[in-house]
Amino acid sequence: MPPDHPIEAPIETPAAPPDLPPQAPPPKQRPKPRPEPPPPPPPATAPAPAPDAVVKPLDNSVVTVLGKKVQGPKGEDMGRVVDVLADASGRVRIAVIEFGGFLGVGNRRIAVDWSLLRFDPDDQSKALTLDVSRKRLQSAPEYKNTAYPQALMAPPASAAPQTPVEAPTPSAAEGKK
Amino acid sequence: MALRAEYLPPANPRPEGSPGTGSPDPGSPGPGSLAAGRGLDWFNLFVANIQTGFGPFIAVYLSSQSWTQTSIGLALSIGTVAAMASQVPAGAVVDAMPNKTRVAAFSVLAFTACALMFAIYPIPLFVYLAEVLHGISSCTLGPATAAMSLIIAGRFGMGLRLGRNARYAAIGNGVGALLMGACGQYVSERAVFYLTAAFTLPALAALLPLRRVAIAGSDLQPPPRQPGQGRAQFLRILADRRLVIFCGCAMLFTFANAPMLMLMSGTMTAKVGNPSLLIAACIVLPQIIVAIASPAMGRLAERRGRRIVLMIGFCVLPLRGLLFATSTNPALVVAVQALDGIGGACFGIMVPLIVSDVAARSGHFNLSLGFVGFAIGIGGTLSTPAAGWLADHFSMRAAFFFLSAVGVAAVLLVLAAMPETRPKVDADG
Repeated sequence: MPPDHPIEAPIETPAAPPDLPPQAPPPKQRPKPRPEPPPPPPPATAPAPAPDAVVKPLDNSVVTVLGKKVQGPKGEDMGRVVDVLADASGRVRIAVIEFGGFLGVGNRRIAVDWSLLRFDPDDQSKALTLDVSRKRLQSAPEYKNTAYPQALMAPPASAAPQTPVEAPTPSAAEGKK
Repeated sequence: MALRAEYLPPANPRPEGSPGTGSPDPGSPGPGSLAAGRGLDWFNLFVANIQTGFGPFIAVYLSSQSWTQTSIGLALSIGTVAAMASQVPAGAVVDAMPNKTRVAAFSVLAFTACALMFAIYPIPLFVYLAEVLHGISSCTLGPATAAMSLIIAGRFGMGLRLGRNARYAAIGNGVGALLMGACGQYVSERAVFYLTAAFTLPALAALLPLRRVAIAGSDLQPPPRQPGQGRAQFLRILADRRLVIFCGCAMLFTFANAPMLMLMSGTMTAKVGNPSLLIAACIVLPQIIVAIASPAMGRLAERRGRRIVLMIGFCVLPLRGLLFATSTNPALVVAVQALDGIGGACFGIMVPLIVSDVAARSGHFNLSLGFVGFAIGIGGTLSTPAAGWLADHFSMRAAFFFLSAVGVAAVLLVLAAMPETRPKVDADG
């Protein structure tokens, strides 16, 4: 799912479009945890050589991720996304999903490879689809914020992208704080 | 002062006219308080109902509202700190309030406000506010309920009364867990908090027959105070060896008890087809046991003393820990959870009972309860991270062995240091 992230905040030409449709609020963007960098301050009235960011309309091809429900290939309930992890380049690598449990007791957190998730931007309220069998998800090791967290990754050979992926369970994800 | 003393009962330990003393069976509530007793039953049930929604489910709800893990952690910590910080002051406040029923009613109204804030507008400000409000009002509600029980039942009927309280609270917990769990699963997470708010109405209604319950003439009535004695009395209560030792016992018990199900459920649910159902069983089964066993435990405490009940409750805890350490078979785990019901029944009754033995007529009953509550809070707060750390760095088994060891320490403390607190006047079996 690498192509389209809203992270590519453009450091573009100073051809600041004079009259953008300044509204058109980006519907639901930013699949990132909340501690976000403060928005860039508005450029001063001074000459302003190159703006560090420009405002552009955002199409509806993105969906919110945090708090989104996740369903299995057959539509079964697989919990919801509670966190996303990115690497040094800013690319989102892992979704942490929380599932199981009853009234908040006994929830398990599993880290899954971002590429195992399928998104449907056309329906903003629809759950994300995780191409992993429920059984595999359930037996995966719990994601813990320790030195050697483990994640459910897509098989390395990337054999068949569709249908329940039989990922080798203990494939370690790099410890990325 | 002198004016007040006029209508005080004589200073013998079983004042005439005190409810619970007139009837031959010391346990039965005095005449006229039957309706009040029923009200208290229902009140316990609905309050337990309400409290189910405010548990760990809040984390699930806030995740569904796109809260980050950090903010959720902050919100829950705020709630914990608020509850811990207000235990003792809330006890003192409840002591100072003449009308305990009113305290209970306001606490429940605070719950209504919390539930509505969660449901309608879960932005950080309101969530934090609701967490603080809930922490504080939980700390006033518990002592107020215990005080109402003491007024209705009297010191010598307190064991039976608390057995009933625990029974109805367990029913409320079990039914509440099932209702709220189903609501969260099939309706929406938000609906759980509307349901919680709705349950506060019958809780208030249950207080109606209790609205004329008064301290005067009851076993909660402090003896007339000599000038300048207030502070000395206050210090004497807090330095009471029985209370201090019991605080230690309660802290160790809670430390060993609190993380067990959390710890177990994570591993156990990896193996079964429907983890939610299994956890539900692990939560509801102990409540059924509590509902069944509580009255018997209350009776046992009245007939044979507090120590024996305390020992039963404390001994099953290390046993449970050891069984958890040896097996993660789901069927066995559910069965072992029945032990949690036994321990819960004993502990739930013993906390207010022993405090009423020690401090009922001191004028600091609720403050003393607040102290025990504070000790319990410390145990519960410290133990979950400690057990989690052990499980992460060593093994699940190590964590359970550790918790069992703490449970054994609690048993030893009861055995070695905790005196019998049952009032002596009623020494016949």
